[in-house]
Amino acid sequence: MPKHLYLIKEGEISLKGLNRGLFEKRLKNNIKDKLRPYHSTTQRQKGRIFLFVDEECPRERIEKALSTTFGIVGWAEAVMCEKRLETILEKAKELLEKFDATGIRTFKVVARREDKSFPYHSYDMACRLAEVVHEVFPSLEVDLKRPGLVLHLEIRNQAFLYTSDNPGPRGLPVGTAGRGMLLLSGGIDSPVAAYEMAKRGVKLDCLYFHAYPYTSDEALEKVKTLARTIAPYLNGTRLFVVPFTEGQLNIRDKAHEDATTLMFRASMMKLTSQVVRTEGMECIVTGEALSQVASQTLPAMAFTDSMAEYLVLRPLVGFDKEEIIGIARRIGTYETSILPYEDCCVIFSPKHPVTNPDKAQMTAHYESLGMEEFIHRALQETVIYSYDANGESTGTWSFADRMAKMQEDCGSLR
Amino acid sequence: MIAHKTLLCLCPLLDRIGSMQRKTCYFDNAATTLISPQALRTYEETALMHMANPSASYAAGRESHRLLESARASVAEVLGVKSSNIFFTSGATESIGIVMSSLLWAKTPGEVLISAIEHEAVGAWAAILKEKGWTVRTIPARGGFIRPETLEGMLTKSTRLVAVMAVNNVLGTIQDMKGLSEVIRRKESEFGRRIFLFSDSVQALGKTDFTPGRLDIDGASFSGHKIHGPRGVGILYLSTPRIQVLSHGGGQEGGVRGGTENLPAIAALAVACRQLADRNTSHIVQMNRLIRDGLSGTDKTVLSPEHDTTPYILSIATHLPSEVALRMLQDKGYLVSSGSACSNNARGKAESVYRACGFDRYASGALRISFSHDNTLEEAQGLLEALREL
Repeated sequence: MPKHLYLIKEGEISLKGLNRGLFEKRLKNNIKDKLRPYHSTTQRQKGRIFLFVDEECPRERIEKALSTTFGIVGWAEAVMCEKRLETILEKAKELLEKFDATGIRTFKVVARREDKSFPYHSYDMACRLAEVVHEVFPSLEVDLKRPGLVLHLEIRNQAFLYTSDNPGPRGLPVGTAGRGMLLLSGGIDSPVAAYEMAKRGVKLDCLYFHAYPYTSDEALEKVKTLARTIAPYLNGTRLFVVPFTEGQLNIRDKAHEDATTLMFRASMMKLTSQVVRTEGMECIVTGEALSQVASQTLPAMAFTDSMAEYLVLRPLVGFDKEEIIGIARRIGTYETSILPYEDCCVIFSPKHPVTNPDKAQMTAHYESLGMEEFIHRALQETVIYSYDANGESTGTWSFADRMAKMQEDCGSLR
Repeated sequence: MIAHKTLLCLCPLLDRIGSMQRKTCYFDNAATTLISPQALRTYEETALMHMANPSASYAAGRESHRLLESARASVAEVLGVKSSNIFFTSGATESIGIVMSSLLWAKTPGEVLISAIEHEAVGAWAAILKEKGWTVRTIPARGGFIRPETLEGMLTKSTRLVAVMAVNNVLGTIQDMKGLSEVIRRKESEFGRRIFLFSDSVQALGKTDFTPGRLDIDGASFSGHKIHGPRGVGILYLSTPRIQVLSHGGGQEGGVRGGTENLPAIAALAVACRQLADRNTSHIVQMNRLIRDGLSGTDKTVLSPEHDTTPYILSIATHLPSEVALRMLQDKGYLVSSGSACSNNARGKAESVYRACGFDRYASGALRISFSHDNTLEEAQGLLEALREL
């Protein structure tokens, strides 16, 4: 059966030592996950993955998959042929005839001969292919520094030809650096934080605190849209929606007004830690950037950190807003993030929040609020929405049922 | 034809909470109303039986034209004016646009006075007129009322147009249009120049005794869907049809509003207008009184003034942000509005009318309850209890 062929360039993975096979395997599986239900196979060869996909699979789908999978530095649709000079030149001509050279004035040929048994040297092949380019596009001139068209030839077990080379998202394959829980708020920062951590290989799920009717159902829909949008980068994700209205009302009624935000953040860390423990994850990820708001000063972050039982990662801590917005635009979350549905009601936002909290004092204050009961109840009502690697919804579950099942499984193991 | 009750069941808005085994009571009739069965039937019959263009010269076209003119006569009778003063439009926003855009022809821009509590359909013209060199000033509306003496102090020789809505869509306050027009006419003779008195009267029709001729108003806008008529149809009243519009289009509606007339909607609107006479206001007064009295002594505040206010609209304030209270009421099965529905599209604007009326401290927690003849006393009692529980 005819197949689409894509050549994929690995980046940082090729620098790995003994673990390299694990990274490559994960990358291959992540790509295949995104292409399902279409069948695909891969061949790995020295820093390259050759991907063969069923012809029924739309090109856009393959290209979306390759441009959202971490671990890929570049990819191109390629032509494969036998290692015979005449065939290579013929295929190169066919490939170039399909290429739209409007507005292009210069070209370059890059030939690589991994298989040294091939009788022609790279330089010879480059010269011969240059003649083919000149034959198809007589007006193009050679420019080795800034070429408009690059024709690649790689001689391996077969000969591979490709013209354009699209940039991939780089990074490491998702799932090679453990699992974590992202606090997803609906703002601009948290989806970008997810992107940054997924780029380093962390497999992430998302957790959102919903305070209906103080926050609207539209705010929840917005967060679901964000989860769907980042799901391809996260190679699929789950969104844990925690109904926390009662907890927030308790904080509003019992906490000092100026400390309500910090008390809420402390409760978030406590609750998320329980989920992280249940799910066997290793870290909590937030979109905090230093000094962006009152709860993101150094003393405030030190306090919220102390309330978490797990490592808290803040990939955006040194970013400024413009940088964050730039990434949000690129990954397609910005337009959703700026929709005017607040993720927190004004009645829970103090006028003068504490920016320099005393850790011991705040911890004692938190303990006086009796949040455990509210956290327990919120977890019982938490709903999990699941999205696959293409952002499609795959189901809804109750976290309480999941916890009960896990306890049952643990019991049977004992 | 599908039975009206069946349509009601199909309406997802009204049935949304019905699926949660609870009846939904609609108290947002100032935003839009449910089309009456008679108006709906007329719409359907006209669409099917009178499909010919009223401008066509064959018999079927002449029949459509006759129906159009008969609808115009019905509407004119309800408004107490001549048929020649009535122009059908696509809605109040277009009616307003026809009048306001006519100012753009002026070679020397003058001054326009717009009340502080206008709907955005009028308010949005301020920026356009300013851009074209007009001076736009705001008439204060303390407590929701525009006082004739305030207007008198603001009128100058360069005033060309005054826009004051007859009944406010947020508070329900009824303006003294007669007093305002008297001031304007007096000043007109003093200055020796005409001043156009325009009144957005969308909430006045059927909610108060409103006859633009007797009140000496020069132009007024009305909307079909606010009086149990269809959407996409409205009325422009002009005391004299001499208005310089931006485009005559195909010359329909005396050149005031070009475009093939929406005959099914116009016929249905005429039916809805005629039905206004059969409405019993005392039922509405009872529901209004029930909620007003029921909220006294609670932590909820009634913002709509007791006097010179239509019973159809009742603004109140709770200690909760409007949107939160609105969602809590929705969950209990009651649909009300936070300020003006059209303004909800842009954050913060819903509050501007309350602030302009001096209700700053209540603005963020304000809710608008608006009644119709479809509401029952039991529903109003239920709403009162739901409000008390907030």
